[in-house]
Amino acid sequence: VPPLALPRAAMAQEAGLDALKAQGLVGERFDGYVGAVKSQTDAATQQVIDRINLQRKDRYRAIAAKRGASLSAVERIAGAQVIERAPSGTWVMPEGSGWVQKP
Amino acid sequence: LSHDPAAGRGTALVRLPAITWARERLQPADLVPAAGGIVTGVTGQTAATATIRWGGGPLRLRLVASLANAGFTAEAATVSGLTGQMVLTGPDPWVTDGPQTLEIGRIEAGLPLTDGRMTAILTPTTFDVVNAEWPFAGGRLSVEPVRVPLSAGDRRVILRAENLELGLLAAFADEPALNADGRISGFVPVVLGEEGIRIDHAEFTGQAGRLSWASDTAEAAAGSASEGADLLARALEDFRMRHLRLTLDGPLEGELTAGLSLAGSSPAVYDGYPMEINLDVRGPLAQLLSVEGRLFDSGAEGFGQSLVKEQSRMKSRSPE
Amino acid sequence: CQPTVRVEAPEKPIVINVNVKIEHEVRVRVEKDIEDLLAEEPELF
Repeated sequence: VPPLALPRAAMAQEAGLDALKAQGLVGERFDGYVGAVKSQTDAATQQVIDRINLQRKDRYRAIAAKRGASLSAVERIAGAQVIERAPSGTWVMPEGSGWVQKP
Repeated sequence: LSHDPAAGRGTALVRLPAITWARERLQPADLVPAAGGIVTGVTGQTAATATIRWGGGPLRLRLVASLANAGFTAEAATVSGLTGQMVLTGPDPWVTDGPQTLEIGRIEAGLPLTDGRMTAILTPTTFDVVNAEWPFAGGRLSVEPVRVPLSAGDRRVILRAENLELGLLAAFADEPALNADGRISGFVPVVLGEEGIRIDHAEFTGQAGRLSWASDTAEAAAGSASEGADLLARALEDFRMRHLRLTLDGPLEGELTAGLSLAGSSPAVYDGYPMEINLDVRGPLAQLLSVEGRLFDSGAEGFGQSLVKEQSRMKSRSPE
Repeated sequence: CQPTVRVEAPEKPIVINVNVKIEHEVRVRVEKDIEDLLAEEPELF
């Protein structure tokens, strides 16, 4: 039996993040990860958040290892860049602050 | 498959096909969406055969899972090169069928730990490490046998470091300018916490050895205005170490604090007058040892030499 | 007079303390890596 190699059902998941951001359910944090903006978050949204964050951590850790920088430094550099590039209206959490909508 | 209808009991052997995981292709999250928050970047090949028993109580499974160069990223660490076979029985609860041994090719943990091997037992409530060790810097890192509770909360594991060669430790730095003979040993308490893995006041000690920092920044500092930098530079060009103590503390993947204190002397400084050099270094783990490149440049924030003044005063008093 | 015996204190070592903070200069390179990541895997951001 040849090893199973199914194509990734990629597209279905990706739309999730953009839609959740547009609905103001998910926002970008200073530490390079996404977070739930509302206090109660349904399981499906939390699942997208957890998956996206772990994939980001996977890439950040590779960069840290390659550059000899600390993971936390890479995370913060990513957070700053992502927040800066986020379109206005995106919910963001700068360091030391709660969720705010980017002007 | 065999089934005894009268007794209502039977067994079946199920051979699950070998699955090849790869980034951008098949991932566990494609099969079990919730797995996406637990593991990602899964690579390598996994295969399993399951023996299922039924009749007289709940379904019992005996799973023989084999991993070939498997790898994954989890919250705590990124692991690759997992090879070996695990025999589990379950479910409710899943436990290993006695101690199981796995090769751990590489763990990305602030510093790469390679060529590891772990033997452990999964019990209903704990993960018992029987033995785990990695060759490291010419010496060895090993885990003292420990029972790690599966429940949440911080868990503490003690890593033992034996005979780490200073010269090889220095080689982790970008432009190693330190060559040293001398070995250090000690203990590294590691806390597996909610916030990630951190080192909780590790301490190493080492005996006699010779140290020489032959970096151009050291030469530049020798004879520089600041007496401390001058003394330090000349001392470190050829330092005869009587005793060394190294402490390390902080998040594995964040900014740690290392304290290196050297007791010894250098023929180049007041012809072997006893000296104590205390370095306090803060930075990412992989770069802590590239300190020698920064010892004399802007990175060195503070130079304190409490006794240097006194020593020069004494020298001036002694009859010429 | 009583000869005073002075016990010479053991030679006090010269103590040098140095504080070093490794502000790694890779910041620029990491920023570039992050830019590449945002371009290569937009679906994660």
